[in-house]
Amino acid sequence: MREYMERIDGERILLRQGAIPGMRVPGMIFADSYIERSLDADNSLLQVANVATLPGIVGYSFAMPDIHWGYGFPIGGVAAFSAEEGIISPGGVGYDISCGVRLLSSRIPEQEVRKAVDSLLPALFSAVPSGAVSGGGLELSTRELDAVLENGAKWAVKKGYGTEDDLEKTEERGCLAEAAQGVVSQRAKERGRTQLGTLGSGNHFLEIQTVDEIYDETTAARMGLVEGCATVMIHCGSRGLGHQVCDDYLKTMRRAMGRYGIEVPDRQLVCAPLNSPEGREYLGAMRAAANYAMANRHIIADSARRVFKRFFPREQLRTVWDVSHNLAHIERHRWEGREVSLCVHRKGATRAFAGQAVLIPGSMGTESHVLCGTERAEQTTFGSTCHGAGRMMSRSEALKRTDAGRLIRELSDKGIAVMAESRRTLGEEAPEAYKDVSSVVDVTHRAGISTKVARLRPIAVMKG
Amino acid sequence: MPWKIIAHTADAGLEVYAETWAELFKLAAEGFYHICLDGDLSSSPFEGFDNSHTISIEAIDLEELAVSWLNELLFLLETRRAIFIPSSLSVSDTRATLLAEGVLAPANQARISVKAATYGGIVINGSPSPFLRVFLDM
Repeated sequence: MREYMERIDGERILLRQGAIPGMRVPGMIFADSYIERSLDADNSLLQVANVATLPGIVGYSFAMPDIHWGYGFPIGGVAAFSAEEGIISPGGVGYDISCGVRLLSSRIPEQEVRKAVDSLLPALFSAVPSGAVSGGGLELSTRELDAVLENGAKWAVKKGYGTEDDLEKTEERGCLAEAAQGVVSQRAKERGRTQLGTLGSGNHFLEIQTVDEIYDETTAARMGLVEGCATVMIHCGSRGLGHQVCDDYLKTMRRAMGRYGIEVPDRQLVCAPLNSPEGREYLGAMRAAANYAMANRHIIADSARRVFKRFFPREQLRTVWDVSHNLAHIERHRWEGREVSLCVHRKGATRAFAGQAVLIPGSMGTESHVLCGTERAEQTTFGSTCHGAGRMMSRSEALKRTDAGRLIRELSDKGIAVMAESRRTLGEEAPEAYKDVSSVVDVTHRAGISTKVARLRPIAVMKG
Repeated sequence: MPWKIIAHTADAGLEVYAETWAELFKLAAEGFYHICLDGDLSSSPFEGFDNSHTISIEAIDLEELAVSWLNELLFLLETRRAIFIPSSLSVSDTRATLLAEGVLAPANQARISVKAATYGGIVINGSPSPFLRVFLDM
């Protein structure tokens, strides 16, 4: 594979067609030399090439600098398919459909938060169900769950969670149109019935942060970010409901592919033409799961806001932005001089249209970043950028190398409080298991596909 | 140990070796529960109601059968907080079907960071004896 790689500049590597048979377009990997070295550690490069073989792919099979081994698509993978002749693939979205990030800003000084953090963090831990529990969230009737799937965060606002202003600050105003609850299986609905408003486990978290440094004052001010003041970041997705939707449609598409004469190099890349019954059904079900995820983050944010109100009654947490990083959207883009309709898959990648906020969580205990989408991203990556630090060490290896007690003490020494449902999760999520998020962000900044606005430093972390 | 956990950058994999197909699926369940429950498999069946449970799966091939089996166990763990303890398990490798009868027992530890069993990198074959490699999305 290496012999097909050609460095274009300090931030981009071309993976030429021919790296594997059947590539319809080249691959394009955003990586500096530090990130390039990590490409040898897993199969993610092969996955970039595999995606390039899918029917109807346009331009490049992209990988963002947080690239690592995923299922089907690499994490950090972006691919756009012709809406007329292309496909849609559950493997290009992932199991955790619409996993994403919401950021809330405040004018509460860091010192005030630090004074309260010993009580504030347990209060958040109590208010937001987390960890590997079957439920703990809202108990929804069948009708209510269907309404969540069709209306997303809009349903939550109607029920008294959050505000209209939150919707204005959420991708697609918190509701993907043409979501179809009718094509979401009963099994998926059963998994989602008691999980709305829950964080989950693994790499999901709720974090209190402070705005540590501002790089772009005008944009930061527009986003409501104030240096030295607290923010709250929430990272989670569609929980068991989304996982089940993915699993269901992998089976559906495996059965359908033969009818459409499609062959894929990796079963996790099964797909169907976007305009086929199977493609349209998956799109509807995926949108429904995304609505569930957006409602989930919205309700968690509402819980966090209520807790903060008890501690800081005069202050308000305001939504900066809420954006998914596992999703497929039908979008209009200009490509090679033509206006085209594309199905853009982002798997561990963020929509970065000009002026939009891009939220990049770091690993536990390390900085996070707020970026801003650019016209260059719209012109070169179908409006896409990275989504996070990106793992570079397996969970088992991280667990072997990390003593959870020592990690808690080390974080405490850095002024970071931690609460977790499982000590094992702490070990698995040790900062050393991830790439340096600042390297990831710097690559996107230098490449111009999103620019740095502010750096956020953690004060307290809640893990599942 | 007839199964072992193998490394994956983001997730976890499982390799299982067995003498028969039924044993392969039983051992896969054991390894899967080990990952989900952090090694704590000690459990007794639910008391006070009928805890018998049957799992029947018809798949398109053995890969789908293995993934469906593990995802069925995940479904029970997530929605009922239950471990399935099979008393009988039969697998047809030619028809890709599975029938398991057993009981449900409470899962003592609620550590379920597994999202799904996946097809990524899956290997299942019967020669010289049944073998399964499967990765779990965490």
